Amino acid sequence: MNEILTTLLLLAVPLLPLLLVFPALRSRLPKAQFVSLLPAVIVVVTPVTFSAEFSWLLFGSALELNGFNRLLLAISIIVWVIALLRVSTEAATNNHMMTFLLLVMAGNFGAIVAADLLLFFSFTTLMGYAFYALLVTSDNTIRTVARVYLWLMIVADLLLFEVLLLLAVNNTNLNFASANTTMALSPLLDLSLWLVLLGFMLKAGIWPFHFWLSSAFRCVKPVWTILLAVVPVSVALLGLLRWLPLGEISSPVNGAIVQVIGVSTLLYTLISMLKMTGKNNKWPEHGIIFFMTGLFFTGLGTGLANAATWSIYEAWAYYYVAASGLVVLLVTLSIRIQLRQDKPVVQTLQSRDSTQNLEHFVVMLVTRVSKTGFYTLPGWRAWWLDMAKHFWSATCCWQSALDTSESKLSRWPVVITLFLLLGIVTVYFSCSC
Amino acid sequence: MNWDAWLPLFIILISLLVALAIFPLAEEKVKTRISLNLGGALLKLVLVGFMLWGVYNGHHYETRLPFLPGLDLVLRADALSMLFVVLSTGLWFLTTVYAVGYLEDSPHRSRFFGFFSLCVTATIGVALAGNLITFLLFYELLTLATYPLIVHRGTEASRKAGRTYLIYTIGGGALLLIGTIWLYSLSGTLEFTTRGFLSAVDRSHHPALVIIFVLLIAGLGVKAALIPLHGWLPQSMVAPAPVSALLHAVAVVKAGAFGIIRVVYDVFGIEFSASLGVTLPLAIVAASTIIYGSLRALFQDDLKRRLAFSTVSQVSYIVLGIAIVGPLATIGGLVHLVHQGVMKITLFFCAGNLAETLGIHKVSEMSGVGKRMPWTMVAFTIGTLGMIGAPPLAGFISKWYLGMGALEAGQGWVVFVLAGSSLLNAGYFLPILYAAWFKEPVGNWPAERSFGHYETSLALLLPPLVTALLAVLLGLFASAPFSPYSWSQFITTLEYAP
Repeated sequence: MNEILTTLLLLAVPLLPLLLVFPALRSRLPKAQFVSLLPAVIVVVTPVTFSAEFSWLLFGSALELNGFNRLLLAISIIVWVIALLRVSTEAATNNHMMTFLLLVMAGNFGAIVAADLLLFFSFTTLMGYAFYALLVTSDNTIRTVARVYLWLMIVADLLLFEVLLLLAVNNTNLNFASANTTMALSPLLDLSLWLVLLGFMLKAGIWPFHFWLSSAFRCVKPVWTILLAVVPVSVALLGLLRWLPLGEISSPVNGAIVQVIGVSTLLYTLISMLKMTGKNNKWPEHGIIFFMTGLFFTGLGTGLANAATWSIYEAWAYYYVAASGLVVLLVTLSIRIQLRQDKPVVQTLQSRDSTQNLEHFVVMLVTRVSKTGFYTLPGWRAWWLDMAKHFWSATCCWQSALDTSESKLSRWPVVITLFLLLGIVTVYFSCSC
Repeated sequence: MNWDAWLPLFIILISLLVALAIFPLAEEKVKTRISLNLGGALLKLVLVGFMLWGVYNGHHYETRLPFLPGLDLVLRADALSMLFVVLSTGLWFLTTVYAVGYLEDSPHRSRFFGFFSLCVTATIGVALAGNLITFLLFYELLTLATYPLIVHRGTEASRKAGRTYLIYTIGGGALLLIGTIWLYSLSGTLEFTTRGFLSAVDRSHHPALVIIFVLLIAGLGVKAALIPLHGWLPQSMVAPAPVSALLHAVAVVKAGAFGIIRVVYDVFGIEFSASLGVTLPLAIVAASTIIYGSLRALFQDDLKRRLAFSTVSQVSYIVLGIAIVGPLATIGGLVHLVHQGVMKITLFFCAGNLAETLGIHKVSEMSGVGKRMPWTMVAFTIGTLGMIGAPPLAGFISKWYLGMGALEAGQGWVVFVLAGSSLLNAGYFLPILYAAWFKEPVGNWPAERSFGHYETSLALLLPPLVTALLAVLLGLFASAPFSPYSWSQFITTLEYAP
């Protein structure tokens, strides 16, 4: 296949949804949201390895579509088609929602086809901010949850940014393979590992940072639960696979800790699902996500602990991430169809859950800090300035001179002209001397 | 005629002549004034483009006029000066377009635009100065030319702000003058030289050189708004929006930051500065300013004051990049000189649009404004996300190189400062975006004006959209030739050449 054509197609995968974000372009196309999927569909069904390097993009970036991410992209397309079908009526009337949907889509597709850490980071950031906006636009009841998600995402981005700096300072080439080797050889390996793990745990809502995700699932409409599974969670798991130097290092201690997190997530999921099933006779969808991420972390821990084991089962990890999106989609749909309701399970949070506790604390803290910032500190400052002013006016007479000049502002050009003339005269006399 | 010897002077004279032509113009001569303004700005832009190409290809542009015995007035175009010249000239053009729309019905426009052009003359003079005495003269001219712009409205608040500005900047100028004279008495030259000219000074003078460094940085730090010399900047926000844009992005604070770069690199030399032990305290002052400015910005309800404290914080990134000794941090600092200008001018243009169109001056009045003025708020959103450092916007590139530079220089604490600052930036910018896009408007806007088909006047709308687009492109195509990043790499190669 022609190299230019493959490059253009690959570039169009995230770029077309980005272009269609502009309402002026979107309105000229029928079913623009589905048109935006077209390049992605073409690259998925074309049996060619797509790869393109862009030296002019950021510090030199690359996109790639090989066996693993082709599968991920295919699953994502399916999820997006279903999501778009379910919101088509609502999105047709809500311009903002469609804008944010397309931004999330661009970020999601871009992260999948990104071939280096920086581009992956850029697309996930775009996806994160847009997903927050999408949640808030589509469903005002989860504003609180969305805010928690946004702040966790910002912290996660900062952690990942630190990792990028640590890697880039040793090796400017940030493609996945090269960056993994750099991290494996880094004297700050443990720090880098945990920054990556924490960053993606925050982004994916992994236990113990899961509170926003469970609250979100209980509040939002089914279509957003589908996207919740595929957008932040799957991409974060993919990020872990891409960023960690798996198969290059054996770190038993770190591996064991990650396994403990995985097993704890599984236990937490089992207990909470049992509790909820007993109460409501309903099976919460987010339990599936926690279950899958718990299993994933257990496997990831094993891979971190032993490089040889990871090398054998590496491919399965990618299939697992791809499959998790599909499984969550199917389970969500089947549960919703069974319940025959297309509205939030809980419209508003009835009881104070962990997110609300956190929010309450944050609100209290913000109120306290705001009071200090807006009233107490300015009060002290005003008192201090008052004292200083008093002292100043008692000792100085420059103020009256300036007041006079201000009231005669029209004469200011004369001052400037004189200043310039002085310069010109000095230059003239210097020249003549 | 030798063009290479006169081009820097011509470039300065264009805006000076425009200023002198505009001053006596009657108020009703609107078309003449606009033609002079835009014509001058365009001509300057073309000549600067020509000079940029020349400097890139190794041409040497220098105007030298005798001034005092042993001291010439020198205007020289080198790689560093071109970075600032291109920024100022480009943004001057956009700010002029914006100011034409903004001051459509205001009184004293001739006075305003006259000083406006004079201000740019002084800024370009600061950028092209080839020695410290020329720098000082234009630096003082900048003070004099900016003052009438701050007090333009003639209100009590603006007069007070102008007074504060004058006290601070004249004080700073005095410190700079003392430092310059002392330096001349020790070294016998004030000529800017790549990698400095002071390393040959006798060791016994080193304590004196430290004091001179402090004097020069304090003098320049006033305009660069380093704490505790920043007090004038938030007060000056009473000035019209184009003046705020000029103060924050094009001229004044940038002149201060640029002066610090000149002093550290081309007077003392970065290696000599480090050996004197003055760079670490400078980095600490810059880092403190970054955090302090962000903390103060959190608690400002007045939009322009919030942006002003944000400038206090953001300009210190430039100083921080310079004070962390190392090529990567230098790239970060230099790149931020341009990137901060582009992003901050976008924010001030948008703040001006909100004030002019809807009468919005406070953050608390911005609920739902995204629906009423979507394009202005799109530009504002890009500007704020860039300031936070979201990839791939321009601000990300600066933070990336500052962070890498800090790690390269073994100063890991700077990374925490950058992370903390990013969080604080998010803390004071994201609530604005949330209110603008997701909250419903509360009642009528404070003072709404209708502009027909568009959300506001086209002259007010286009400049922020152009600068917002620039903020995206400068980040996305950072590696392109002639980008601020590539140009900063070029400068750094010269400064750190073995």
